[in-house]
Amino acid sequence: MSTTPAPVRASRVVAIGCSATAGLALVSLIGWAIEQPLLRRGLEGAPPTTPLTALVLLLLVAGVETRRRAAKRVANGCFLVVVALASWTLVQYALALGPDIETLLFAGATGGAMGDLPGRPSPHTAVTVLLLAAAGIILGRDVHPRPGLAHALVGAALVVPWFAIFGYATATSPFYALAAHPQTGISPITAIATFGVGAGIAWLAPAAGLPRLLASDSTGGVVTRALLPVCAGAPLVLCWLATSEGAATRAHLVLGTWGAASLLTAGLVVFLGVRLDRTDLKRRRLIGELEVANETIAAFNETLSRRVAETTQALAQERNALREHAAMLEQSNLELQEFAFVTSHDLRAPLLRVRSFNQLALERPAVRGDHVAADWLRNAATESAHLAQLVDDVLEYSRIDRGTRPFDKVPLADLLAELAAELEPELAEVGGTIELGPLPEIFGDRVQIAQLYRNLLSNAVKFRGERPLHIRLHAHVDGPGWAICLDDTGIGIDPEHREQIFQMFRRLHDPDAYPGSGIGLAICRRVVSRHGGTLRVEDSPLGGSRLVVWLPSEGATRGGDAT
Amino acid sequence: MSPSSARRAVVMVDDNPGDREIARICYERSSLHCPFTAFASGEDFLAYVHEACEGRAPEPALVLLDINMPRMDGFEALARFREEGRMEHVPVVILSSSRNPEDAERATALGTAFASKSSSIDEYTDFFDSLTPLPC
Repeated sequence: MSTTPAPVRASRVVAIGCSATAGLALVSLIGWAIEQPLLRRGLEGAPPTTPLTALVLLLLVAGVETRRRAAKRVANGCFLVVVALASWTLVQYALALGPDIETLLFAGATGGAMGDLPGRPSPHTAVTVLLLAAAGIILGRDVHPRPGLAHALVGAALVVPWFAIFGYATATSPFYALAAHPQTGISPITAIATFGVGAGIAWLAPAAGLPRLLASDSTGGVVTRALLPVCAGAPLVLCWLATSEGAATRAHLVLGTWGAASLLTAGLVVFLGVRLDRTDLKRRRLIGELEVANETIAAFNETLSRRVAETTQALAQERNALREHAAMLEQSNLELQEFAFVTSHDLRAPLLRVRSFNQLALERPAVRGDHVAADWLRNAATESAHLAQLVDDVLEYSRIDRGTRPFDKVPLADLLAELAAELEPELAEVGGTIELGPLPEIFGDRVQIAQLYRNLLSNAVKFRGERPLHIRLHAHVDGPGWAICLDDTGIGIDPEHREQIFQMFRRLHDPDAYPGSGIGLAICRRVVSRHGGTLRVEDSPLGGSRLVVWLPSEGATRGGDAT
Repeated sequence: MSPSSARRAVVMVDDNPGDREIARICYERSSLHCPFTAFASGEDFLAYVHEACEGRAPEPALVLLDINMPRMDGFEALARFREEGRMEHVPVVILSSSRNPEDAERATALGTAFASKSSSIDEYTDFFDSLTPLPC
């Protein structure tokens, strides 16, 4: 994403620029030494590069090279000497002061070759090198470095040599020399050399300004690299072609406009390039930020989905643990039932024998003669009969869930009519009546449902109380099933005992008054719960108790056939 | 159980001496008058059957089999007994204190009668009476 130019390329630009400048300066000095005018001037008739100018150019190169090697003091010294020499030269021109440094330094060396030269660098050259040296000093500052200002100074410095090159290309002397003094001007060698050292100074800060723009891979960089050489070079070539036919003196104004236009266009290109570059960089920074944000979001999403997965896994583990627990409970329940079944089964056989021997003993004449012994044996017979009843009931209770009969449709109206008929002699004996209302067809184990109602009806008869017994059976839809109600006129059940009566061996009354094993209602509740229903007691409008058997309607119990 | 006796016997197989005693008393009170023989295990019973097949013991007229016995239970004894070709026609009653419907179903499936032991002496006697006439 970064558009920082490669330092290798920057140092290369500096090296090439400086080498070119140093080379040109040395060539001109050699020209002075061996009295070869063309080496001093570059072009016939052009003003020469004076020895002092060559020295100044070399000082600039030395400044750049030492600056590049981090010898800041030396670099600043070189630049300051250049500033001093250039300033003094300009002051001399302005105030027509003497003596000329050049004449002092080089008059002997050049062997009087100075001729009609002013004895000092031209004002063009002085302005150019002054600006370049100033830029070099600014770039050398550690505190508040202003590479933008330095680059601007370099740009301003190169305007003069640029016009000079344009002037040489079009043979238009006002562009490079003073009109009053044609030998006082910037020589072609100096003009080109300043471009070299100018580039060297500018590329000392390659991370800013034009150097950065030219190296940038942004849109601005691409556009600038493509357009700048064309904008700067095309007018030069065109003007050179236009004036090469010998019409050199024709239109200085037009040519000047061409030159200025080319500079302006180049400036515009750079300006646009910078703007484009900034926009592009901003866009890239935003894209980068967007990508970072996207990555953050992606990471967050990942974390979130991982947490969700972890939570789901934890829940699944808990659910499995619960399932295992339920399975263990189920298993232990089954084992308990199996235990009850086996135990009661094994109790039956010896109990039968006890009862048989008891009867046989009662038949013996000796026992018959002993009334006390006979009474005791009869008591034993009664107790063992009760014990047998208990064992049978426990056996039956334990067998409820062992039922393997498939569930089927059970028309309750038919079943209860049968049971009522079965109960008829007993009812007749106590003067009771039974009334059957509308009853549904349910889904279940017919034998167990019959057992359920046999127990409930037998309880109604047993706990009938003083009043004449009336039993009423009826049903209504209640939620996803049926509420089948058995109302009676019996003694009822106190609200605080309504849950206890469904517990095994729980009796509310004296066994002498109401005999029984105390398992009947426990069996009833177990049968109902095996059918997916509930059994509860309420007050009956008939004055006794109402036993409500709630059973799900057929669809809800299908497949609910347990074990 | 004299080998010279030609009369066929009512045979009971039950590991419990009390049950054997009660059965004998009820049998004697009933109208049946074949000899009554009791064995305490399936093995003893099969040994007797073997002798009967060779003519050294009276053939059984009826077999009363208990189910729950140590080592060889009633159903296994029944299977071995049925393997003796000559005994195919002998009626067998599974007599058990079990109230497990599976036992009754199994007995019926094997082609034998199933009777639940009763605690009442009179009912037990009536049960034997219901088996008359029994050819001795």
